[in-house]
Amino acid sequence: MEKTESLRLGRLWPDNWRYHTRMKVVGFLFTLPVLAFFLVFNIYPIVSAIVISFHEFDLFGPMTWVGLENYQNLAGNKNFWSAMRVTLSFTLFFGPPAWVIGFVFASLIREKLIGRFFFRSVFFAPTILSAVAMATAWSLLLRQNGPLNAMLGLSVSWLTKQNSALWGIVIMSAWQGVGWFMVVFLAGLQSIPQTFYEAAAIDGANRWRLMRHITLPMLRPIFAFVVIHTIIAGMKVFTPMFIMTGGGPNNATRSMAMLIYHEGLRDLRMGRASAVSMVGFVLILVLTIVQLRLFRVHEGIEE
Amino acid sequence: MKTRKRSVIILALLTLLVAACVAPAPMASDMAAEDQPVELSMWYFNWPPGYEYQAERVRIYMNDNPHVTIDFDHSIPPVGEGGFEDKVTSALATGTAPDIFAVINPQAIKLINKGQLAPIDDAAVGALGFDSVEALKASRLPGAFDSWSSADGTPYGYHWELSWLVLYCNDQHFRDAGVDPDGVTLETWDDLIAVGKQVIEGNPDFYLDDDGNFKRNFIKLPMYFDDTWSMQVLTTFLAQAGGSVLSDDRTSATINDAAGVEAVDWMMRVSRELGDPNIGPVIPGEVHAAFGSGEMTCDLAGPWMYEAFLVATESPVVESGYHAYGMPAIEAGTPGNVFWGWAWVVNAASENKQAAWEFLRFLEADPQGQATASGIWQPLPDIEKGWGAGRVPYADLVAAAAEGGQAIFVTEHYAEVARILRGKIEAMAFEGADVQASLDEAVEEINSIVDGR
Repeated sequence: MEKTESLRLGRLWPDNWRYHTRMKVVGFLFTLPVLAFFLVFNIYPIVSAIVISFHEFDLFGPMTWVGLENYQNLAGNKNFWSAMRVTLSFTLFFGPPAWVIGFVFASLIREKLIGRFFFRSVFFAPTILSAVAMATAWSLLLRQNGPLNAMLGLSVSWLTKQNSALWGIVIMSAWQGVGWFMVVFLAGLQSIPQTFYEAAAIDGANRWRLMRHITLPMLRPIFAFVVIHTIIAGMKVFTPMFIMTGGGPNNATRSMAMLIYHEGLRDLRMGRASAVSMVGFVLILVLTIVQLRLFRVHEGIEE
Repeated sequence: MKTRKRSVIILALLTLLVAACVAPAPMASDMAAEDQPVELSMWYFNWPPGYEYQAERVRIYMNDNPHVTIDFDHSIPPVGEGGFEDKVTSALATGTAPDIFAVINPQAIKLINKGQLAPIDDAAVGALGFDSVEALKASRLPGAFDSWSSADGTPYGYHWELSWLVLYCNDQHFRDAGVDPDGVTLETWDDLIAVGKQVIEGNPDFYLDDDGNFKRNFIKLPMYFDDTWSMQVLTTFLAQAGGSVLSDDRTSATINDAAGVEAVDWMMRVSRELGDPNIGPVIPGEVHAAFGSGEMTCDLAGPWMYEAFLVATESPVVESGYHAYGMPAIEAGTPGNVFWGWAWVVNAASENKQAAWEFLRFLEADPQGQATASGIWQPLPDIEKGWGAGRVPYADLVAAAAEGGQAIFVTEHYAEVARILRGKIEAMAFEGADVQASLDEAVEEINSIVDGR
């Protein structure tokens, strides 16, 4: 009996192995187009940028090896540090208000309120509308004698003063991001089992305690995702600056992505542009890893 | 008899055959390989008044020359001005640029120096219908080719458009303030400031709020958030003051000298005394739109203002009336202006250069039709006297504003220099930064670029 079983398994094993191998090959073949696309349009440009960052290259002539010179030049380049400051400030300030408002909206439209589907669409609309159109519309709204100031009773030169121009762009970007964050938070909220709330309610928990001890802890993975998304989006920001201020006034809103564009396509210094993009890439990578670690550590303590 | 008749017929057929072999093809080029199929590609940006006219010319040319096929792509977003220029740069770098494309003059020198454009040499000049390069240059306004030429003077671009600044003002706004627009003479910026203040005082509710602050601009110079427009305004004032951005050898900046300071001082005076740079539209396109909608009284724009902008946007200003006042000067009698525009160029890598130049000859062969259809003027002497350009209101004044015109400064580092200067202009206009100190800073930054430090 044992022998028979063994023989049966022996027969089965090779068949099973062949089946699994075949399935793996088929699976791989299915992913091949995406993989090829990824290699050609993601990996190849990244590797090229790394290589170019060690060269002097004007797009038309041959590349000349310059070692770390492009990176060394960045250290003393005030445009680079200015762009870095603009980018980090934007990343830091556009996310949190959008998260908070997005979370509040998600909480509200999760309730069975009249017209919640309508409001869900309305709040989400800016996310799917053209960024260029939104930026154009907001540059009208943000004029010193424009509607926003009139509504708030202010007289701020949002886009023309160096100390307020970035805030104008932050406001626009936060507004545009609210809908997206709302949807992400809504998905997170809907994934929390209702039984948790019911059990806590039976134990006498009020709304604040439900939020503090159930909702927020259960949304931790969503927060991690949202923060990482914010960092990546903030570090790559280009369109609002390009459309609303052209990087001005006096370069006060020139982000790293705009600097890369200026250095590369306008000034034809692809080596330096690639060096800036590599710094941005590493920065995003480090911030993302730190972020993931932080959330994991906290998760561990919680467990 | 029959033999004689047959001989006559054969002779007639032979004659026809010989005639067909030796006669020039109707409308076909003299120099291209006749009836050999030629495929040309051409790019222009997505600006309907321009590309619709060009597309019609392309259609006519292909109809008259069946062996020529032209693939005309005008879907590329225009600019801010980035879109089209960047596409051209990328395409040239990757060997995918078309045979023919338009180039704005500040971009030209970089492409010329990188060997990307075909020169207008003896063969090209023949295809364009001229005996020599000198004859070609003489057919255009003086200086028109300067910023499309290499250091040795060889031209590389065949003009589609040349633009210069002209002052336009809304008649109704003048009348509302009790000022007769026909009685106004604006020879100098001082004149403009005086008349502007008179108009503002005559109709304060329109321009000022209860606290006496500007709520509308009498004029706003179109020079913010856009390098191209910023440099057009700056260099025009500089030309009038006798200053320049760079030294003659282009290795150092000179804009902080007395002439440079005078030019920028005037820009700031006009900006601050006749409005508030911080209010209203900021981007040049929006500034022009404010003039077109009647929100702003005067505007600086090109000869294209009437046809390509006011008429095309159905501006109420066309109905209510406006005046073109030429271009005010810093000193009366010393006009100065700067040329700006787009020229057609041929890709140095094109295999059909000769056919491309021949087509460009046809494309630009109807300047009056072009002016009528697109509002774009070619830089031809006396173009305003023709039936097309001449129908533009104040065509003579618009044309006269080109007097004293010169090419924009030329340097391979144009984009960087323009960005630095634009930033300083914004700081001076929006925040009142000191003119001399700002220009000193600009010179230091520009020198670190142009002298290779």
